Amino acid sequence: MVTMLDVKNLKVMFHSKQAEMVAVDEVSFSVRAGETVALIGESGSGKSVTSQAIMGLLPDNGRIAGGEVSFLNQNLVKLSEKEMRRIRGMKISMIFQDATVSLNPTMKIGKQIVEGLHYHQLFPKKESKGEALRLLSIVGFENPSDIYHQYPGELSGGMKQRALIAMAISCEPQLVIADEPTTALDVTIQKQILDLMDDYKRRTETSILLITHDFGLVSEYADRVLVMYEGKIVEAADVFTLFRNPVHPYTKGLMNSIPRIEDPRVMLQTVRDMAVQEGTFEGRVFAPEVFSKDGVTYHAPSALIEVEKGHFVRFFTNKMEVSRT
Amino acid sequence: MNVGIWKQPQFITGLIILVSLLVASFVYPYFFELPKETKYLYENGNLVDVAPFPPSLVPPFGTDVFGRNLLALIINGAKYTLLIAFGIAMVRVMLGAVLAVIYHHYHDKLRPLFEDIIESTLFIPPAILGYVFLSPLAVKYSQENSGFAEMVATQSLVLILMGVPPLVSVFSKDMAKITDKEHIVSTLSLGAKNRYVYFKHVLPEMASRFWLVIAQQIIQVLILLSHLGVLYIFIGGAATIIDGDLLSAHEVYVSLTGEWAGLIGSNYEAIYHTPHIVLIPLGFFFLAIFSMNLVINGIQNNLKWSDRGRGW
Amino acid sequence: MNKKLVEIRNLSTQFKKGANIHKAIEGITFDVYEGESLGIVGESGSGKTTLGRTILRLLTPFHGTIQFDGIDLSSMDAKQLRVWRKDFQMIFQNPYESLSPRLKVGEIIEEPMVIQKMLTPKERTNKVYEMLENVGLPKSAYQKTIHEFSGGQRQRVAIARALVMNPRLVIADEPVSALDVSVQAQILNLLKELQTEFNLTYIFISHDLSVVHHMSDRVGVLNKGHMLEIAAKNEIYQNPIHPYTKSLLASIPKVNPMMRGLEAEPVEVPPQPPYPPHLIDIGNDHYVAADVIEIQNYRMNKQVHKSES
Repeated sequence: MVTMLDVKNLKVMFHSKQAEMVAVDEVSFSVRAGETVALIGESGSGKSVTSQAIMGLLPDNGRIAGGEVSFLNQNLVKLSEKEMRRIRGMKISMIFQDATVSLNPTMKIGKQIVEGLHYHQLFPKKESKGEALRLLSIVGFENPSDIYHQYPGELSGGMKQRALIAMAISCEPQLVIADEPTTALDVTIQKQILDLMDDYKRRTETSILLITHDFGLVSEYADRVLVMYEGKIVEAADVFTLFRNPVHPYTKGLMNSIPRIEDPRVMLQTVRDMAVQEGTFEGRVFAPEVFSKDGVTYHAPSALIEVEKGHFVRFFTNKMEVSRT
Repeated sequence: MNVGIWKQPQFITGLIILVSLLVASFVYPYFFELPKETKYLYENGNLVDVAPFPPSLVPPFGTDVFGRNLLALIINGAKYTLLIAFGIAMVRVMLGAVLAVIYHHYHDKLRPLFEDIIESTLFIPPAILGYVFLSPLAVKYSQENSGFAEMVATQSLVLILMGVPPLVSVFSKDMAKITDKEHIVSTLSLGAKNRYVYFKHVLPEMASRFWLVIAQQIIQVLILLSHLGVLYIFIGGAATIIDGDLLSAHEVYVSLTGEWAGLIGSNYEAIYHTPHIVLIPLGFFFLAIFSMNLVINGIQNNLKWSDRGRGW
Repeated sequence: MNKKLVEIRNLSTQFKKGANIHKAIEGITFDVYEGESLGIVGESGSGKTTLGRTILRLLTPFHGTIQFDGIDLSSMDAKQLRVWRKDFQMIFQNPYESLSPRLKVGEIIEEPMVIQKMLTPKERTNKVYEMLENVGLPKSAYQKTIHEFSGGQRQRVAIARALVMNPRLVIADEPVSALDVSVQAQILNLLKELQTEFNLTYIFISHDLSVVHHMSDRVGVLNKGHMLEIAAKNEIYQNPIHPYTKSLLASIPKVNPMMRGLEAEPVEVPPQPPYPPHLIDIGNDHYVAADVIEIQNYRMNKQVHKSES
């Protein structure tokens, strides 16, 4: 399979008046063609910052301090803003949590799609309306010509998100970055939207980078999963492996803290219950796990270590054995 | 208003300029004599010059048309100008806040009518509105020769009332935003009385906002006063003086308090041959408004800072 | 079954916007038993927040009655209600907004007692320390402002504030939806612990079916201002009758990739009926809004099942 996106050792720094802090560090992963890769983490984990860095859309006080983002063997970090604009929307497009902000409230839906098509000069002007209507029907509108003439304000949250997806796929991007695309939506709508994206992905071999905090979505839609904690990837595996055998205590804690209907329990386990010896090892909360393989003991803080084929975990110390279940 | 405000350089700069103007104005009479009129300048028994005298003769700004030292007049007038503006702004905001509470409370019944009235008055320039209200008063008082204090009070009252309705509208909208917040709903759910909610939560939360609006109102009042001065409406009333020599005697109006607007007004005709007499008081208006703007920027920066809280 | 603490009959709340009348909730009827936790599930616009606020009489109902321990709250005016307010409290969704940013944590927790004129200042302070301990916050929190706390800690303060007057009924309106997953678990655990400790009755309102499942004994499903189904938790999750409940349950993402695609149930949101539906008892304390034919079909199916087994 073709590697679409290859991120290597990405490091992002943010500076405030007093100091500079590392928001994302040592993040490496790749997304292959037709694959959905999920980046899961809580707020402050650096998952959104990673996506912004890939798109070259970091806020003014942030900068890429190291690493490479190669998209089809082209290093995006080195590109000028003008070159980046050609890539954004054309080759990579983004879907955000809040469709209200991403759509221009004073412009009809159809016109916004047509304008995107013009900007990248994909269609002759005469044909672009037809193309816009086609896109609107792809995203599940039964009456695209009505939607074409409506303003974003006249649509519900779910419909707006669909219109946004129509815009995102209008240039037939090779990679779609979806940053919490359904967090603001109802659960029934969420399923419709994600099924829609999944279906589109299967038909067109588009890659999706799904950024979310929800293990439910990950288990339903992702092929591979990267768990982020405090700016680093702490565990990475394909979705079946990860759910069968989570190794990192943070991943375990996160999974056990979700109430599950099929597996009810009286009290939820919390991430804190899994954290031992706060303050040791550079203040990291999840310290005491180790991995030794082929007689090698890994010292803290380590890089990602492959515990089984395609399953990587970050360890911090050398005091205990990994429990395999 | 919190401690952070004292870390805003703009706020401090603006405040220092204004306070030093005020202090100078109050201290000044103890060290210098109040400016006297010197209309004609004789040398060896011959008339050599007539007021206004140029800055070269009476530094630094020369004199006004009555031969008074312009700088001394400005310094002396600063306290009246600034304090009147501050007082009017202050009372406007206080009255606006009280009425806004009432308005906000009975909002459903009052809103349609009230909003329309306010919106229509916003299209009339305040200077014209002020002139319409104040000029009959000025005539009445000059005829009846009423007391100075009464005059100031009445004029201030008119200037205050002119500014209140838009404030009521603005404040009630702010209150609506605050009372919709969950912590207010939460307090109501504990069984708190409306009075408790307003005094303990809503009004304290608006405190910084009030200070900001007071500062903005001071600027508005200063501008309004300068306009009214040009239209010969002086705070504290005007004295009529017979001016000119025997052949060309005419009445002129002189501000009784010596506030800056009066200075501009009574010297307005001099703009054709000695424009600096008008421009210099105008410059001080500018300085005061500029400093007030610095204060406002400082407050706004501080508000933003505290709104954002400490997280990011 | 315990005794009924709250009886809600035919409750409706409307909002007027100019000439338009928006019926936020209509014809809601249910009971809450003492010591239980009743979950209310609804999507956005279902009227779930309006329902909570109407029961607490923060809104005036347009129609219907709310009986709290035999006392009719719906007809009381603001003054009469004030005395009763200490018996029912609310925990709000957003701890960043539901706590005053100007007060110290101690003052926030003390405020309910000040308003209700309970205890002496010294006793109040002691009570506040006691509550801080109950919700798992250090004593040093007393002097701090909420700026210094994270979302989860703020929600702990909000819980302390709601429970300080020993209320009998607590309505929690989306108390964890603004929190991270790991913090959410802590708060849910805390709410469960406090329920046993203080013998509380909860009405737990949320859009999250998994959270409601975890927290509730019985569950009601709200859609577009109408109650569509209400039953014991296991009954409703394993044997949903109403098509809306079914599609809600089918939409929950499964936290297990092996179960992908097992649920073939299409998502179908029924149109809103012009009038509030009637809830019909289909046995097992399971009430569902349905027309007569649907009910008959259901009963027939059930008979068939019984005879088969």
